[in-house]
Amino acid sequence: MKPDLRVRLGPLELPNPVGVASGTFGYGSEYEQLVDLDALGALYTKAVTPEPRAGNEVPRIVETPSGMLNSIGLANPGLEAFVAGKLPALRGYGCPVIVNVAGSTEDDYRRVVERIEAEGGVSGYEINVSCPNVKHGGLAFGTDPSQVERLTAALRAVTERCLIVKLTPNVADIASIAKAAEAGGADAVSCINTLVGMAIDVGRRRPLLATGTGGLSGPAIRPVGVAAVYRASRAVAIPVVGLGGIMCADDALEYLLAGASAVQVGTGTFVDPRCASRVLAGIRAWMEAEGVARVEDIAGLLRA
Amino acid sequence: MSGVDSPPPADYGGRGGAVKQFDAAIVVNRSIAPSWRQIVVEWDRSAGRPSPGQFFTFRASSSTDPLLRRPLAFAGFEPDTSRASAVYEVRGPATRLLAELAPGSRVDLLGPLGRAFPPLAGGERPLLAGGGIGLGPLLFLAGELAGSGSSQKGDPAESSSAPGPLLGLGFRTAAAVPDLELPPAATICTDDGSRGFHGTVVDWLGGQPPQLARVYACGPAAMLAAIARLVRGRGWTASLSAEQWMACGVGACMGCALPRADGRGYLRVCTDGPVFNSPSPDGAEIDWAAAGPGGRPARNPASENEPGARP
Repeated sequence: MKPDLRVRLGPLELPNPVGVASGTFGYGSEYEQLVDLDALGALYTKAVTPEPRAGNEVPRIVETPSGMLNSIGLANPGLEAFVAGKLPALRGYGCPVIVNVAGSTEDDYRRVVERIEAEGGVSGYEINVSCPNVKHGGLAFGTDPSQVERLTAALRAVTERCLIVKLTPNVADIASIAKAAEAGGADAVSCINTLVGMAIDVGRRRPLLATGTGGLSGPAIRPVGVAAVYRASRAVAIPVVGLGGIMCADDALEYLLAGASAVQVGTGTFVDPRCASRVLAGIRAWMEAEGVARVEDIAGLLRA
Repeated sequence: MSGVDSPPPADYGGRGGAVKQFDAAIVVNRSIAPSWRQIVVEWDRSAGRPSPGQFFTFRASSSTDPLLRRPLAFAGFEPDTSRASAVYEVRGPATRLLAELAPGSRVDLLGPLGRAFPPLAGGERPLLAGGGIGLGPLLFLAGELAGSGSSQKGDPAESSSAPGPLLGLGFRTAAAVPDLELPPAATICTDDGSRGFHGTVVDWLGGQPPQLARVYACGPAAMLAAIARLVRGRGWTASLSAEQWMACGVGACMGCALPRADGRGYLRVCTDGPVFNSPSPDGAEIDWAAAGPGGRPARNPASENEPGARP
């Protein structure tokens, strides 16, 4: 039996459940020579903000046990440069393209979505209310249910395309944030963004990142992500996209069993650009071996 | 917008060709000095041909700790056999794993990456300066400029009348000079005077005739910053290979940024560099005073980035 790998996120059907996460895949062209972009379940772009952002001071990354900290600071060329320089190539890819949107104010987010709506050619938006590395916006939105609901509703009003709200794990109750996104009209939530973390160079008695703290990603955070998906997916009726530390098919299957409808590979692509395709091949093989017909059936297979 | 969409400087070298990820057979992996090693691998013939100044990333184990790939600069490439080499310092967990791989085993490689040293303008006699483990790319470049083995068609340096490059290699002491075949004309510089020129490679460079106006260098960040000052004072130009902690190596993550000298944001070492010109015609120059990993002087550029590894 050939398993059906398609998954649905509101109005959007993905050809398969394995996407590549925002911030780890640039705007696609960076990996063109190494990855078959057309075979991706979805390509989540690097965040787009209305204005260009140079990003944070350096160093911006440091390795930690089975993980890494980053403090990039949403470095991106800005909305107009994205539309002129990145969007044409993105439109040409055979995979769904979901634009990650960030900003400092509600108006920032709306400007980005409205402008790209006017251009067309993308499959949806992932709303980044969970970046730990910027002073305004980001976490400030994502930790407050009422702000998440209001922002989601404001963006819902300007697009009928797939609207995904990306959640932070840096909250007491991720289920309440997921519910707020659902109430605001989101088609799905994705979780988790990075965990706030810090590493210190003991010899120099200085933080290893210029900003002091950063966002932790990689296999070290996978159990946190799986638990977040488990709780969020039981709190809302909309689909949950799981990410955090996926390196192989079993890691992705943990997320799908926990309740995710789809997954994203992030840091795993840095380590092995072939990671997403390996993960997809492994999911397919597992479904064949286990006699599972559809990806959406996997969530129901978790035993108590 | 710097660093994110900066157009490629027109004057950079590199032969282009495909960036590929492949499992390479290790031919040689041997000690060449205390804690320094040389690795020679079978380079995939369908991958782009490496140029001096470019690098590859490696993953020596499928373990998640250490997690990230590490960059290494090419120290040589033989097109006939398609063998590529690098020199590296065993500095942290990833290079320790690499050091354990025996000839015949395989290692996950990705490359060639980054911008190469730009070609010479006709008739120039270049000054090549390597500091510490940063000697690798300069040995590669010296070999190409001398036309030995892997000269390329159309290279101005190929003209037989041009005098060969002057190569200075700096080490702390004579004991640190690696067991490598060095060009006979190379000047060994030691900080303690235990061999060759007594002084740093920057001191050696400063003693060269002012008409030799073209410098290529790779080494610790403090050395590169000193060379950037020297060339500015003399009206020379330099092509300097920078280092920064790196995650993706292909320009996607914006992690390996270094600040621009003009204050207009950042440049990526992996794709805007690692070779940067000083001064740069298009202003895309690094603030060399702040160019070490962690914004502090690097210990051994062109060797492994070991994010988080303590000396």
